[in-house]
Amino acid sequence: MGWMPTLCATGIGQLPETLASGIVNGCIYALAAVSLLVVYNVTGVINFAVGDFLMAGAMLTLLFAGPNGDPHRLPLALAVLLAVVIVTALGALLERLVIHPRRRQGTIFLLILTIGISSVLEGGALIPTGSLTYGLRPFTSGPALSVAGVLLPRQDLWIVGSTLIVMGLLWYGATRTRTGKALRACEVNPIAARLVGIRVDRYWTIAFALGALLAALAGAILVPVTYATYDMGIPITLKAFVAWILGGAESPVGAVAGGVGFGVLEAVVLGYSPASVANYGDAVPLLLLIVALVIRRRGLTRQMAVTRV
Amino acid sequence: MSSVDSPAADRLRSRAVVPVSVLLADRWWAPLGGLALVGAAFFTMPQWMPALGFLSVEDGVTVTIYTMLALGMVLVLGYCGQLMLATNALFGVGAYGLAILAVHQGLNPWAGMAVSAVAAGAGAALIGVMVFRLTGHLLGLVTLAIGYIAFIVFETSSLTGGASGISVGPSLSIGSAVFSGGENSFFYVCTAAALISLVVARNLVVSRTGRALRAVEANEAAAASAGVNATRYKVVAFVVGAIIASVAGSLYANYVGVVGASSFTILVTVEVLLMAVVGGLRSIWGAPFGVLAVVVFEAALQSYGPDLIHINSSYFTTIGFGVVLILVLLLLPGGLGSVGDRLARMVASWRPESDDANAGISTASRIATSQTGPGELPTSAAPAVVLALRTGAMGDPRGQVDPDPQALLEAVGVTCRFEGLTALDGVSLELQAGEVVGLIGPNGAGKTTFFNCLSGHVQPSSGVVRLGGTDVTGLPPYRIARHGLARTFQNIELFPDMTVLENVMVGAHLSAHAGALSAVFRLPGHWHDERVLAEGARYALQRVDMGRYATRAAGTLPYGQQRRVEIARALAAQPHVLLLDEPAAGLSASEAQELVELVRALANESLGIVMVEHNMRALMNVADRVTVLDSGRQLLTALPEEVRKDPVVIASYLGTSHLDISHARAPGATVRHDDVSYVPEGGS
Repeated sequence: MGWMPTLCATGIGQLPETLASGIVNGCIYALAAVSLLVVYNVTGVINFAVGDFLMAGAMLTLLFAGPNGDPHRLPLALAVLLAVVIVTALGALLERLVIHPRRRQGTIFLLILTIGISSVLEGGALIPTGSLTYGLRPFTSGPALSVAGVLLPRQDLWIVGSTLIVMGLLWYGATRTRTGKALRACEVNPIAARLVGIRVDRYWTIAFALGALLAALAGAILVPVTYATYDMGIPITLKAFVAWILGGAESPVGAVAGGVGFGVLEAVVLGYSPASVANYGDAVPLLLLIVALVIRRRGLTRQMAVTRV
Repeated sequence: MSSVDSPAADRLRSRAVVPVSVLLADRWWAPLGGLALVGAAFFTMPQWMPALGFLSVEDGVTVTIYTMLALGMVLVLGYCGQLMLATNALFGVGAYGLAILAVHQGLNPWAGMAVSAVAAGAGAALIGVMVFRLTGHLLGLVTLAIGYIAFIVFETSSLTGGASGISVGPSLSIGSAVFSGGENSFFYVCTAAALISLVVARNLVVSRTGRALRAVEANEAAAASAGVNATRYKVVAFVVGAIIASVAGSLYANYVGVVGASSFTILVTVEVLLMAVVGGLRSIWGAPFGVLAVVVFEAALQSYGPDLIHINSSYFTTIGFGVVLILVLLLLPGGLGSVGDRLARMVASWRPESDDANAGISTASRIATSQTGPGELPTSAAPAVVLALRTGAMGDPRGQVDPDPQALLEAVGVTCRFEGLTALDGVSLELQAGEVVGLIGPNGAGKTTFFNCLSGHVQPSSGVVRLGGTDVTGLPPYRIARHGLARTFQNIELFPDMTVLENVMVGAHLSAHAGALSAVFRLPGHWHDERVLAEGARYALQRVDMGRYATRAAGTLPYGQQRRVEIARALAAQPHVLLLDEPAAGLSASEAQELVELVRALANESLGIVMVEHNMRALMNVADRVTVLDSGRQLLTALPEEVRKDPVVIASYLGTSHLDISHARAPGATVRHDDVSYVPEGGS
């Protein structure tokens, strides 16, 4: 690979840590990308508000878990659970109120509606938080763990572990439960699904709720490693979208691979480029990926389609 | 197979409604009325805005600048159906361009504005060519990412002054008149720029280019089969929008004096989207009122919001925008423009001429067509194109055709596979001038796929397609159309929100050349081409007996009439080869007979016609030869009476019950089994 020599010059010693942090960020992108995928596959809508559902999950976790000394704070597990449940209900509610009445319109129309939802969530978070940034303690305290000589903060393990568990549950739900099978039927062939008695419209709501759930969970596990702000959603939406496309836009496995791949790429590019480039932050990996997408989109998706078959 | 591509049927409206600016295109007072209305609202802003108490004259400048941005959104999203969310980037190019060129290069601000606009236009063309291969929402998110990247660059780069921004230098001026940001005179400069942008957008939309844009929005496949290069027209719309947005950015820079990155966040794009939606995405004249409504709403919210809830006023804007965007889309999806449409329609219906068949086209073409009069065929005064079509002397204006009339269309061994499924397996066809070939076979036999391979909508996996001797295999549909091939579709693919006449004028797209520039400046070429297109379209409509429905929105017609309009659209292209996909479906017996006569007449004019049809009576009456497909394979090609008697065809498709014919094949018949391995008993 072309960038190897430069990489050696900067010092190979940091590479494992860089890769690890890329994988951790990638897990967040992966959860958000799977959220996009679930909603898109069932409804054909790109949920522009996915990053804002994530932000809502983070903010509500903060609200319930509170600062360390707060006597009114809830136990962490309960706080996360409450946040996820509330955001999931919010996803279902917004689908019923906003998307459902116009679900026969074209996908662009519905995408614009989700932009509206994004503004409502963002604005709704702005009023109480007042554009301040908030952070939360890690789920478990203690020094970073050393795994095979690589130092890993404990919250990173929480993130990777939760992602793996959620993906496993998702796989189980999609293949082994009635609801999961019905969801996949709506995705493959809505007309046939309706003919065999599946109420496709209801699964639009379920898909949005599930999408909100995944995003909220990502927000809850992310908040100890980054600061939460009301406007953190849109950059995450964009990255989740890129991860989703990068993974072939068809299967959850692809979306996870795309998310982790993008996270690693981002960490490596920003970690090893000169400061004059790294200052541009998000712009660098996004630009690289847009160029790749525009040039090679057909190739990327087709490859994934073939491996899936 | 789920892919990221959305179906082409992205529709921003459910009902077929022709935009009022198009319906009233030939009324001289319509654009002036719109301009007067907007002008009255804008020029009086310095008076009525301060009177409201919570607005100032400066909000008037904001209104004019955002009107220009919203117009770009209306052009690209509303008329072309492309979700381009990079408005903040283009706005920023204009603003930073002016500042950088004036400060670092010492350029006159007007020149800086012009250079920035050219740069924005060129950048838009470059981005457009790259990203318009993407579709729908994919495009939206990619362009939003571009907008986000642009914001980060503005915020970080030393060229743009980083977070602290960059000051602009001298203000715009003419002679001794200086239009600095705070001056009233600058407000009038902005108002003039906004009104000029309105006229530019309106002229672009009501023209050959505008019809092509709307056709692409409504149905890209059908537009391509009429010869419309979709990417080209998307790029044209985007470039015009980008130039307007850049000029708006330059004016903004002149207005604020110091350009900072915070004015070019993604929120700007969302705000412009909101304004365009409130104004009506299909409405040029609605855009300024959408902007006005949002600016007034925002100011009112900031001024009265804190009294209701005691919180920092600026915190209300984001949620307010989101709520308004959702409410407008749910309750009034056509925006303010749809209200204006209704009013304008009422005004138009007071006038006696509103019912004549000529609305929807320009005055010049109306004068021209009045020579022939509605309902009658053109006389000797008819234009040359029409005469050529009638007499069969097909002088081809577009590309040379092999003088040898023996092979208008030649397909050799066309094979088409979709992921392992072979839809077509080595199908061959030869079509001569004046010949009608019928294409029959059971459902799934590959008839429509074969048409798609011929017209370029599907790329054949192997095989060759020649039109007039030229190899066109694998060319995109709009280029194959240039070689004289026109088609209809099995599931009618009209442009529902366009009038019948406009639909057919899109069909005649290639018989004119006027581009965006002649449309915007209303050059003679524009008027000439409108006349030529309307004449060709009217003649084609009369041939299918649809002349009196010219002003109806195509989507409101019953099924059988839509079929006829689609045939007229194909005829208007003056094709050499015409592909008709189930033209008699849904027609009554007498209508089917009329169709047979039309097809015969067209063949007598030396068109070559290939026709897929399940109506055997109609097909056998009109076809010179019949090709039978089954499971992608060509069973035989023979004379109709031979096909009718062929035992293999009877077994696989026709059946025996309704054909009282002997099973034995007539001795000496020239039946050709192209696929000897076919065993009819083996198939189900």
